[in-house]
Amino acid sequence: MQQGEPTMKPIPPARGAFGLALCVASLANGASPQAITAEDIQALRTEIASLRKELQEQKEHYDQKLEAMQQEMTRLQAQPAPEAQPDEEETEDELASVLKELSEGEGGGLGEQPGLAASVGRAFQSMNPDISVIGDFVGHYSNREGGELDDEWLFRELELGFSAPIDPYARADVYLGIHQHHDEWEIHVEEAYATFLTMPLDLQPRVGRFKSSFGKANPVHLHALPWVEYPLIIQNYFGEEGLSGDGVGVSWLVPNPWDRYIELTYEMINNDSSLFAGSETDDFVHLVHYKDFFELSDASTLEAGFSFATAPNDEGHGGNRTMVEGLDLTYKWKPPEAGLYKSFLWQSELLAAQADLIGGQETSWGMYTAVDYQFARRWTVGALYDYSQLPYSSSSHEHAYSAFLTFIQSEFLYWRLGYRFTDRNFPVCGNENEHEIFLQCNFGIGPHRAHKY
Amino acid sequence: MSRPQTQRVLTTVVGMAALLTLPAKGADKMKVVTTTTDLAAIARFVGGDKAEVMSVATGREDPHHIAAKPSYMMAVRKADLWIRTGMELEIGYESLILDGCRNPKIRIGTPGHLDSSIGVLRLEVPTQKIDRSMGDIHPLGNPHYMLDPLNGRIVAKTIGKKLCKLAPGDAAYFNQQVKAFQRQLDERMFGREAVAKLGGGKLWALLLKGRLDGALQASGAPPLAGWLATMRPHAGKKLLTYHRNWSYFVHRFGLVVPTELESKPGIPPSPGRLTEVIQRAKADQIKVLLMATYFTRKAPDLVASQAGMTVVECAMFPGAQPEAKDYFTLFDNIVNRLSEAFGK
Repeated sequence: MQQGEPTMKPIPPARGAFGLALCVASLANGASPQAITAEDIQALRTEIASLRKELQEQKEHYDQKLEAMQQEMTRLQAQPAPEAQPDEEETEDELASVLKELSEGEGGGLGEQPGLAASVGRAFQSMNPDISVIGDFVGHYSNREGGELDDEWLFRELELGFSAPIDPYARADVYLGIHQHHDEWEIHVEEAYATFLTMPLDLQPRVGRFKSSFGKANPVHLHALPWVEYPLIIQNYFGEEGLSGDGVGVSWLVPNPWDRYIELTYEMINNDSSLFAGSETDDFVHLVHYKDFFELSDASTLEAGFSFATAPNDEGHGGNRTMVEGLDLTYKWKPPEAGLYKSFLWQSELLAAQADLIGGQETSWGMYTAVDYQFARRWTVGALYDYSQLPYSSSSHEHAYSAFLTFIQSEFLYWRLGYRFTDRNFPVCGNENEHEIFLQCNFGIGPHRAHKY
Repeated sequence: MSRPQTQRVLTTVVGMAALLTLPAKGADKMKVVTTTTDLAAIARFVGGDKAEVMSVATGREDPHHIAAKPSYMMAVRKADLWIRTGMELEIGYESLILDGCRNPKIRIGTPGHLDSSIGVLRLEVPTQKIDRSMGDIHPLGNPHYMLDPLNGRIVAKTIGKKLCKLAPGDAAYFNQQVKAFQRQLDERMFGREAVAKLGGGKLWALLLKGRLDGALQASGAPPLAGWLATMRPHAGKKLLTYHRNWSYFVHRFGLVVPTELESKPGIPPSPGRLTEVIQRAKADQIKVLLMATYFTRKAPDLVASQAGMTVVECAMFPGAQPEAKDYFTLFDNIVNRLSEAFGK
């Protein structure tokens, strides 16, 4: 202890005691008074004085030391007695038992429920697939007379969706579409496929009936489009519902040094689409799609895609073929902190087709470009420009200009008001120029589904 | 080709091959991907230098509305562990990421998939049949449980256990990290001296049983410090929130939320609803309106100006505000902002 250390050099106690003993011994020896001289007395006095001084100094030294010790004791007494640290295991056990009590007592009146007790109720339904029902209702008014949708209210589509894992390796997705056709209700399988999710080498095959991966808009279901109908190129080249069919496909995540999402898809589907005009099931459509995704920032992304599809367009099993190429570019912006209220989409596709016909090759093309801006939590406004030639008659073409206003009542229902002006160089129901107004109401019930980006 | 040229080409080829075969930085670390940044903050602490942790979300967005960007699939593709909040918070995007990433190690039901809600204390678990007329109600209870620090403590242990299972060789290290995390959390919640005297687990147990004050007095422990001490003077005070995402925080610190700006969870307030709320706030003399950073301030500012309230905009996740850097500073930030607003 540094505090209270004496600074004076202490006198060794043995030396003082020896001096005193010598003095007493010399007096007790019975030496004659004559022998004691004044000098001796003076010497003794000096010695005694010296001894006194030494004793005094020693006393002071020990007093100082005692005082320091006293202070140290007082300081130590003022401190609380050191205690044993709480046993960590023991206190953790105590907390664990309280949590257990809460669990057994249904929250113990605290409203807190640990564990999975609450999810037990759902276990009864857990083997059922997720079932959703989507209704699409459209009102239409135009200056045209006749056609599929003509100045009427139409329950355009009722879609039933079922999805669930099949086993640990695959999942199934089934979509049944119920439509009106010439006042008759028809049910058809829009999609029904199994996807194999645990394959090696980043491969993901699927088999069944599915919307093919041509471009950006084609694989999307009608109700998930930002427009009332598919763009004209999809309708003119692949039919009202787009290119789809029974077949097999496989997609591969292409490894790359930039760790970018690059996906290559190959699909082989039966040749029964309007574009390829084949009806023989022993002919196939072969399709390749390349998708490259760039994350530009937390808020914005760019996706670029290239598609190619080919199939015989006659019954000659390949004697006459049609080839279609597609380019798609999609830019999305959604700032994370304001993503509930603001977003922007710019999506464009270009499509070119070459068809071997009896009279020679017919080359045609089309494109669309669209923007959609969310300006409030529940509102979006959008515009779409379409240009499309007809696949087997490139001299026939149409331009369409559309605008949309969408009110998103909730995640499960939206209203959309649309206007489209179509300028054609060929008549449809007697009209080359057409003005159309749409009012769409789309709703969905069932479990919350994940939204594709 | 001359000899020096051949040598140069050979050197370049060999050098490039060597570069390609070099192990990538952090190759031996366990790769953990979480959905939200609060889970990432805890996983980062518990995993220490033996795990590489990233989060899909930035912390700034509404956790209900995260998009399944293909780039996330690339991040998850090589993950050893996927950690989600669970209770259906990720229902809008998780399945697409897990299906799209082609990583069989982290699929639901595999050892590499962790639902961190296992074992947490839940609030607002529906006791009746629910449907969407009630708004955005989660059938398994309110999923914003990470705003109760006790749940963060439980989650740290859950994550620690999982890391031990995946890397048994580092179990001692992960267990030590869990203890260190819990100790730091407890000290921030109750104060260092109270934790040293009674132990963090005991303090939480006493708090849950409502016997904390009595026990502290009986043991002659020093007064509480930390978040609890800062929030204590405000216990019982009323505040409004925009959405029902602060339930766990207000429950833990004894605050009262008589109503939210949203009439039902996830349904934006109508002008009529705002008028109702303003009247309620005036009648109850509510002075504070708490909201997450990802909502617009338009409606809260209107209500606050009409009812004489202070709007407290607060990060719900690390990364949403500069002060909220990790799980601890997330609470520092909420406690500081709220206590300041209440103190006005």
